[in-house]
This record gives sequence, C-alpha cells and structure tokens, in this order.
Amino acid sequence: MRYVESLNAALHTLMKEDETVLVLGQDIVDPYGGAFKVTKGLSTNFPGRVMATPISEAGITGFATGLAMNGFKPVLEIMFGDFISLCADQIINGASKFHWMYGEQFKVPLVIRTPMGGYAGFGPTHSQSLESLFLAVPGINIVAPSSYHNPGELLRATILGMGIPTLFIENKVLYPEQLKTVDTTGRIGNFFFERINKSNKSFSTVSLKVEKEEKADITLISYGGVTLLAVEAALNLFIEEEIKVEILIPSIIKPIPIQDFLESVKESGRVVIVEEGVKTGGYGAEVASEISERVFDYLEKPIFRVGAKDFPIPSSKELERSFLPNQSDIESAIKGLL
Amino acid sequence: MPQLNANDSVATLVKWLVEEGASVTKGDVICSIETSKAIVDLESDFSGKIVQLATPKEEIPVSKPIALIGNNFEQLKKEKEKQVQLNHQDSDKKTVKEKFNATKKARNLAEKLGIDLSLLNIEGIIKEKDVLEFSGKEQLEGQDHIENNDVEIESYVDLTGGRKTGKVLMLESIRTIPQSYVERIVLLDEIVKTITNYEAKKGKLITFLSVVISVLAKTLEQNKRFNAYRENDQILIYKNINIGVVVNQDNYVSIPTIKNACSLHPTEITEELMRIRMSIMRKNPILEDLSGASFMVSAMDHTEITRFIPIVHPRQAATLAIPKIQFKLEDREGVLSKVSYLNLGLSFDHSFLDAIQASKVLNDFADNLNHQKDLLDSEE
Repeated sequence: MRYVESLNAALHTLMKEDETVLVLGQDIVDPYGGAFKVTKGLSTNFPGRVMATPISEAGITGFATGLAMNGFKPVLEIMFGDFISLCADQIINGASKFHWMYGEQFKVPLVIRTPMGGYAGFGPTHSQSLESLFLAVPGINIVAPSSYHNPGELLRATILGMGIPTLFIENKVLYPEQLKTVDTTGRIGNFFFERINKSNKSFSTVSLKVEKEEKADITLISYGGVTLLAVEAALNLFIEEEIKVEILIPSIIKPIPIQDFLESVKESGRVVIVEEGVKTGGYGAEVASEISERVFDYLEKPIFRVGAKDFPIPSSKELERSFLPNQSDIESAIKGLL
Repeated sequence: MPQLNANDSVATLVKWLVEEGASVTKGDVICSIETSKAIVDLESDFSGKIVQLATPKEEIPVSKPIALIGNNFEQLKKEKEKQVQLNHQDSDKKTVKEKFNATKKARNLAEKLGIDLSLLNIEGIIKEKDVLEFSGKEQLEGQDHIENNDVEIESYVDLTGGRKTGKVLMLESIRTIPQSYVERIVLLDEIVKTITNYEAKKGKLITFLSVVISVLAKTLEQNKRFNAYRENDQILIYKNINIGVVVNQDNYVSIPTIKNACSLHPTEITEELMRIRMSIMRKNPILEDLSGASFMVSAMDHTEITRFIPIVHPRQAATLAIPKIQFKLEDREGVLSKVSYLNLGLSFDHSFLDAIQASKVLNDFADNLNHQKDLLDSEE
C-alpha cells in the first residue's frame, strides 16, 4: 500500500465510523479529489460532509476551528503547506488558545493536514517545510509520519485521540512511496526494525539498525520525507565503510518524543539530526538542546545538524537539490563525527 | 510519457487511437492519457510507422517511452523485443544483487582470501567479520592464507540447527574465555549403593545424573562465583542456579536445563529430566526447558571415555565434566575390594577464577556427595 492510499483509506473508514468527522479543503471534491488525491472518493461516499472551500486559508481555518468547538472533528486540508502562513493567526491567536481562554468549556479537536517539502521543482513558494515555525506555538501538536510508519493509523489517532489542534504534515515525496513492511526476520530491507514507545503510545518512533545486537556508531534522528535520504546514506556508509548508523524516525515532532531518543544517544554518543526545513531555528536545534540538557555527559562529539540552506528554494530542480539537504550532506555529517 | 501535470510522477495510458504498425504523421492524435487532472489526447511528434510499448490501463512513469515511431517497421519490432528483454534483465540483476549483498570491506577480504561470497549463508549484508569467521581466521593481519588446493573435497555439509548454534557458541567461548582445567578422583561406591537401595526402599526412580545435579547445585550455592560470568571488569553473579546438561545423542545436541536446582529433590530432578527427554524424543520440546542455564554439566558417563576437558559456555564461569565410571581394586583393612570412581573434571574461566578456587569446588562437591548419601540413607 502506498502512503497516499493509506491516508485515503483511513479517511474513508473514519468518516464511515464517525459522523462528526468532516473534511474541508480546496479542490477536494470528486472527480478531481484533491491535488494529491488524499481525499479522493470522499465526496462521492459522504455527500454533505466534504466541503470544497474558497481559496481563503485564514477564513477556512477559522471556520474549521468553529466546527471543532461545536462538537465536530474537522479535517482541513491546506493544499500546499507553504500557505500555512495564511492560517498562522487563526492557529496562533485562535485555535491553540480557545480551550484555555474560555475556561476549558470546550476542546478544539481541529486537524490541519498539509503537504510540505520540495525536491519536485515546484519553486520557492510550493516546496518549503515550514512546520518548525510552529514548534514555538504552545497548545498545538505536530505529527509527521514517514513511510516507515502507518500514516493512516497515525491520522486516525490524531483525529480521534489528540483533542487539541494538530498539524498533520505529509511530505510530498512520500505520497507515491510504498509503505515499508517488516519481513519474517524482523527487517525492512537491510535494516532491523523496532518501535520505541517510551514517550507516546500511539505515536511511536521507529528505529532502524543494520546490526541488531551491536551498538551503533552514530544516532541519526530524522523525520518526514528526508528520512528516505537518511536511510540511503546510512546503507551506503555501511556498505562502503561498515559505519553503523541507528536511524530514529519519530512520528510526532511536537511535543518532541525525547525519551525515545536518549537510549540510543547514550550508547553511540554521537548524534546527527537531519531535517528538510532550514537549519536556523529548526527542529534539529530544538532536539539538540533537549539532548544536551539531558545527557550531555554521554556525548563524545558536538551534535551536528543537517538542514536546508538559509535561502529561498530555487525553481530549477538541479539548484533546488543543492539547497535542500542531500545524501552526500548527510554522509559527510556522519563521517565528520567519527 | 510527457509530464502534463506538475504534481504527477506517473500517468495512465487510457487507449491507443492507432493500430500497431499504422502510419502516422506528425500532429496526429495517437493515444489518450489520463493525468490526475484530465484526460488528454497525445499528438505524435514524428511521422512514420508506430510500434506500441505500453498497454492500455497501464500506469507509466513520466519520461518513459510508450511507443517507437520510424520508417523501418521490422527494425522497430526488433527494437521492441530488445526493450522487453532489457526490462527482464533489470529485474534479474536486482535479485542477484540482493542475494550477495556485502560491504566493500567484506568483498575486498573475500577476494583476497579467495572466498566465494555465495557460500556464506548469512541473512542480510555480509560484513568483513562474517568473511573472517567463515575463513576460520581470528585476526586480519599476521596470518597468511594457507593454500590447500591440493586436497580434494569430496562433498560439502551445511551446519544447521543446533550444530550451527554450537559453532557460534564455541567460537565465542574460545575468543572471550581463557580456560583452565582441574581434576580429581571422586569415589562413588557408597553413593551407588545408596541409589540402588533407595530405589528398592522407596520404589522411586533416582538416577546418578540427578544426584550429580543436586550435589552440584548445593556446591554452587557455596561457591557463588562459579554460578556467574565476567563482563569487562565485573563479575555478574546469577540469581538462580539453573543447571544445563549437555547430552549428545545420535549426532544431536540438546541441553535440558533444570531450573532452580537447589530447591529440588534428586527424585524430582530425575522426573524433570525424563519429562524433558521425552518431549525431545517426541520432537515437541519447550524452548524454556532447553535454555537459560547458568552452569553446564557435560555428561559422558554413558561412553567409554575416562577423561575429557569440556569448553566453558559463553556467559558462564565453568563446566563440570562427568566421564565414564571406572573400577579399581583397593586394599581396605587387608581385604581387596572393587571400588568405583570417576575422574571429576572442571573447566573454568581463568580470567576471574583460579585453580585453588576450582579445586575447592571439586572438594566441596565430593563432601556434598557424601552428605547427600547420608541424607538419602536417612530418609524414611
């Protein structure tokens, strides 16, 4: 099953099971079924509960917030994550605070699904990964499944269980990806697969290791679409130089599931954090600080971050590749710590 | 397949609007394709005869050829066959690559040692370490590969199951445990008599091996460092005394394990051993019965071997050797008597235990054996 199919199937099941689930967004009605087809078939199967909205992100975010305050579970699609900036005021000064501002009279179970990410040549305003901007907003959660998770299951857990406004980040490069399945030896491809649930039961972190029993040389923390590059880099370094990388892929990025990371960090003492968004003020900076505050004594080397360059993303695919993190950036970062 | 929509990496061929081999001119509509936004008629960029490479309803990656157009129809058909073959070869190559996945270091070493990587029966990626292990070498440097090409191989036998596990354990033992050995004679006359009498008296079966296990458990309680193992600079002492018995029958090794042996009477140990042995014979053993030993006894008393030196198991301190029970004549107050005895041996990890401690274990064992005899005799 592909990433996009998993999300689509989850929405179909959920709308059937729970009448309070509503889906809103631009161009999501059949036959088009949404820019990335996550909402395909929903308007046909659930007429009246799938709303094609105007191109007015602030307006529809406010509308969805109101629905959430009145007993519905709205799932709002923002067609390109870049335009989450237009929703920002509604999220920051509205949805995230209402529960507390109005004396906890109601919850705001609003889910905003949005695709982020580049590598597709869509240019500076359709390729960004802006989720890290919202790390500094209290009162919301951010989920970002990789293809090593079950995105449908995570979407379900978000809609039904989160209870507070949540950004559900879908990286565009993952949509056509086949979901990874674990074979009888406990492996996905060449990696041993393990789930870590120390921080959050429903939103586990995936651990991938080439050598099950031996301690890893490096802990690599990465989420979303860029995990595909991280896995390639780790495999290549093992084949070329037998460097053992443990890859940790969280499914939730806010709050940070820090307990899921610490055991591996203590073992390896060397950490690389890879994100697709810009390095400055990013996810990696936050995780690095959390790790340093907790297990500084175990670190053998400074924590290293790999992220996009502090510059608008170019339209040319070739140039874009050199501005966004690539496989060789990740490999050099790892080698630099050994 | 052209890229008609920026969001799509694939498009679907809906149907061909020209026959295979038909003549088309530039600008003619040749097929319709469906992107995620619309169904589009595709016009030919060239004139000539057409050979189709894709079939309707097929999802085709953007930029992959869907047809060939040219003037020589026969040549086009040959080209099509070639493309089909190429696709097949690609998938073949993939399977070969997956079969012998190895790191660069492993490949280099295998080449140096003349090892065929396909002979290594390893799941996942083959590492340098695996090649070393396969070659039987302990270290990379300072050892030259011994050419043995003159000796002909008759056949190859794969190590499987318990034999394969045994190999791994034995190699690890040799790598990690510096082993030493002590031995003493233990007289058995009295205990053999007691066992025979006990059976007659109580009607309960009791075997020599279960008395050994019972006595050993008591001995280990007095010598806790032998129910332990070393890791770096620490001795890790096991909480329970679980005694495994290495039984070698018909080329099959199994290790029935008596859990918490201290708390069991020899008759209970006998029953337990028989139960486990039956489950093995029925080929239905419980994994728990065959694992979790903290100390191992190697029993060869059913053979003609009078002395042997066992190898200490990884993550254990020592192994007790029980060879064949022998007889000798002894002068007892002027009377020549036939006395049974055996050479009781103990292999131990010399990195944290010494020969004096090891001899104490054997002496304690002999004392406890006498004590056990008294206990069994006094039972009503």
